[in-house]
Amino acid sequence: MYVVVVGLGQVGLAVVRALEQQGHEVVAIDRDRAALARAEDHHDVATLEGYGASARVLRQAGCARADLIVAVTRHDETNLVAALTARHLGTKRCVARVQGADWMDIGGEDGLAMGLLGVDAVFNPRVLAAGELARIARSSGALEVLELAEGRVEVVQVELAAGARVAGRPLVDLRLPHGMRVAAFVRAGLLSVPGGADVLRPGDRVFLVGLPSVLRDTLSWFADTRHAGRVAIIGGGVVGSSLARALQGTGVSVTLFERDREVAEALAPDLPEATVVIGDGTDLELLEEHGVARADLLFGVTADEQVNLMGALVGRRVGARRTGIIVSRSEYEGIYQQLGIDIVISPRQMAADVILRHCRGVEVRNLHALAGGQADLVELTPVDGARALGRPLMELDVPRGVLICAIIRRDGVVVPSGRDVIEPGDGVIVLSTAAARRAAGRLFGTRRL
Amino acid sequence: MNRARTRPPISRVLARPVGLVLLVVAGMLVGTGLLEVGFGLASLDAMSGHSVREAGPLLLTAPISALLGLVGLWWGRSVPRSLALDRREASVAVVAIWALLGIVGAIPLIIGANTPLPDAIFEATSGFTTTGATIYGDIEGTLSPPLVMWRAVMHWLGGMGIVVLFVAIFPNLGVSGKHLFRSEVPGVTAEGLRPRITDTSMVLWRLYVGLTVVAVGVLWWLGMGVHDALVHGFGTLSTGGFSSRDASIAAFASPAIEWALAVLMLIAGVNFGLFYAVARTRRLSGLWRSAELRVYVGIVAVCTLALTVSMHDLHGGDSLTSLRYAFFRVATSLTSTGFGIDDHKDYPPVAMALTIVMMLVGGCAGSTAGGIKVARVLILVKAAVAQVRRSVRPAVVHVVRVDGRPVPSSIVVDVTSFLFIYMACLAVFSMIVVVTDGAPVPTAVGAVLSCLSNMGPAPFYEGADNFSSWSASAKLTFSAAMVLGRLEFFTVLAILLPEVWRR
Repeated sequence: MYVVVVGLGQVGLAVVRALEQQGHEVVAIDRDRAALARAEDHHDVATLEGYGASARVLRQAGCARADLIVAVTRHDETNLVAALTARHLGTKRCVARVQGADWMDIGGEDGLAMGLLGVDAVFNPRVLAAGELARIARSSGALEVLELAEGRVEVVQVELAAGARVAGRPLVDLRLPHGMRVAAFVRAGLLSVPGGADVLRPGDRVFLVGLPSVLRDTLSWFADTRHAGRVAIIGGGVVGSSLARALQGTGVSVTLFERDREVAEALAPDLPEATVVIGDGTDLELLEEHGVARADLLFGVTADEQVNLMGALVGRRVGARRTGIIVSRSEYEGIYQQLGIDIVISPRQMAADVILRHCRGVEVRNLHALAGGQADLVELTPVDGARALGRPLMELDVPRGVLICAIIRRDGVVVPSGRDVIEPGDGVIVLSTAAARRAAGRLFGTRRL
Repeated sequence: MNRARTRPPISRVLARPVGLVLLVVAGMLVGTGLLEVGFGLASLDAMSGHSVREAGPLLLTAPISALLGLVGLWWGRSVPRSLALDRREASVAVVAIWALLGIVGAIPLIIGANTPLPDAIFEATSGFTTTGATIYGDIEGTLSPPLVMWRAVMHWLGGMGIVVLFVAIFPNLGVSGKHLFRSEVPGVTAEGLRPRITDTSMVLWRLYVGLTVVAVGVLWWLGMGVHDALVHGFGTLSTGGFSSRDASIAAFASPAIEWALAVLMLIAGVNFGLFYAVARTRRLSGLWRSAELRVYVGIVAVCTLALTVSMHDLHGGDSLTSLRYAFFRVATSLTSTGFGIDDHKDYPPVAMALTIVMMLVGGCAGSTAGGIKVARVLILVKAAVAQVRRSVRPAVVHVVRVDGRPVPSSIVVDVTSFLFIYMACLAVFSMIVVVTDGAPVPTAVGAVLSCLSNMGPAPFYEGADNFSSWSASAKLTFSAAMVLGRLEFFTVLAILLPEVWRR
């Protein structure tokens, strides 16, 4: 695939890195010479200095024959114009990112609008992050909830509680119900795909995959599943306000801390059920005064990563049961977890995920990076004649680090055992570690996942 | 989770790419050896009616090269494959590769022709750098056909660049590949044909192989034997210049071959990126839009005309003959190939001076030719004019443009530094051989210029027209000059910087 990336900020670089690894041809455009030099030094991509929305620059970058343009500069309007210009020049697909408050309403709660203004996909990663946090708040005990196959399959990340009934026994002996399974676990920062002999220990982060109803029933086997009744939010920006709005009418009581009086006063009328507090979310006394001690969840979602971290740590000290923050660099997820933060969401990683979904082969529809990119969760339809088709999974010789999590049929979803067969036309959800991506791709007839 | 990032020592980081390149060389040795065994068995050619055993030196060297390569892989075994080379490591790797090429390439000559070590290293370096300067006075008597073929194959590998080949055939090098590529093909290059360096290298090698096949076919069709056609085809597209005959191209006594070779050499001196652009857009008009090509063609036309006129008397007043000799001389000098059909010792001073200017200018950037390169000369001239204008009217903004696009001042500085380094190397190396060999200054300068521009035959030579009479130390000095010229200085000089070795 030939991809033009406009803007080499953090998302731009993350996208460039992922595309390079997948073997795509990439041309990166930026105005900042230092950013271009950095990309040149570390990636096998071509670079072009110039204004990314200019037709001349885009033509020079080869937009006439490009398969995809990804516009991720700091300026929302530049991104939209760049995507439209590229489309006009003949680029097949265009994806633009917006992140300002003025573009908050696009695509509703999902933050993803298809076909807006003629751009294939316009997305707001901050709204996407807020949606993710809202899903976590609504579910009980989960650290991450991903919806796949139009919500027919879920992937839930939980931290194994100290007294959990599944802890300390090999997975084969657990007698987990049909319709769910343990897809992966992260111990000491490293993700592995378990075999039957593996034993889960308290403190492990476990990825469960399965039918939403089954997962809801078995979640208590793994984690503390008290319902989140009270949620504290630090920061009333795009993420904070979207999150608070998404939690309206769900019975969750929301307290939102915003330092800026004007912003806070503008927010309050929109959020009749929430309490909007004007003040510094890292102020211990303020948090205590407003009942954070009894909060089930505290989210630090300002634009400043350090404030989020401090707020979450203070909230934890005050007594919040679980804490979550949004960060700009997903690489540091492990460090934050060591510091005691339960949920780490990176809007930039989510942005990269959205973009990469557009870069995979046509047969790949959906993609999520797990555990800071150590593994990918991919939804795809095997190519006709692929090796995976038509025989029981136990005869398939599935490579190490690859797990077939679910088979999606028109009449239902199967969480497969060794005897199940993938038929032509079925979709599958596959988990694959970064190292096994190529082998997994071969299994399903795509070059690599 | 303690992920301390200590980089392995540079020798281990380099070991893998260097080892793999040596394995590629081993593969080429086996390939050439087997080809020669085939020639020996079939005796397709009058000249190649040699015994199969003469391919032995090549087949014997292959395991040596492979063993060295495996030692490299073993030495670098602890380095994770995902570790990308940075620019510094890539520079050292490329210089190490080129130094090793000179040694490994010399082994067949030592085994097969009893050549002394410094001479063999000179010859192999001259081969890989596509210089074409030789220490053999009697090629037909000393070298067996397989050794002649090996010299041509060295040219061919070095022409487009063995590192470029390496990047093309190992697609997973990623950014390491880019840094390696740039260390071998620096400056104003054909880079940017495709966004990924593997694709770019592949495009270049495909074009190169394709043009070589055409060249060999044409030479064979015009009456050369298969063996000779291969040797000269390899030597032409790489702008190398090693011939299978003592008299070089004159030995074939065929005006048709001379015309064809001249045209093929000039083609090899064109930026390969232009060929790619033409192939992709299927429009020839793209060629003419390149200022460099226009100037290149202009130089060829003007120099051919001037040489024709100046050598009119030398060829007995026959215009067509002097045109042929002039055109061939222009092609062989400008592209730094070094094939010959006449002896430039007989040239009138004007013709001699023109020859030296052409050796300095060289072919187009992104071609296999040597010299300063037309693109650089173009920028230098325009920058000089702008500078003169600036001295008269300092308030006016003077822009240096090539192909209608302004040339950034960083490039102008790069090109002027290049010119300075070129001239400084010419002076320093000439001085060295004047001191060590007591050679006359014109002879020394001519020989060094010939090596730096990867030309081959040296102007103002004394005695025989080859490098055999120089001392061993001078031969090694010339070898260094050839590698410097081939890698266009910066990469080689960079490894002399202390900060390259400090971490």
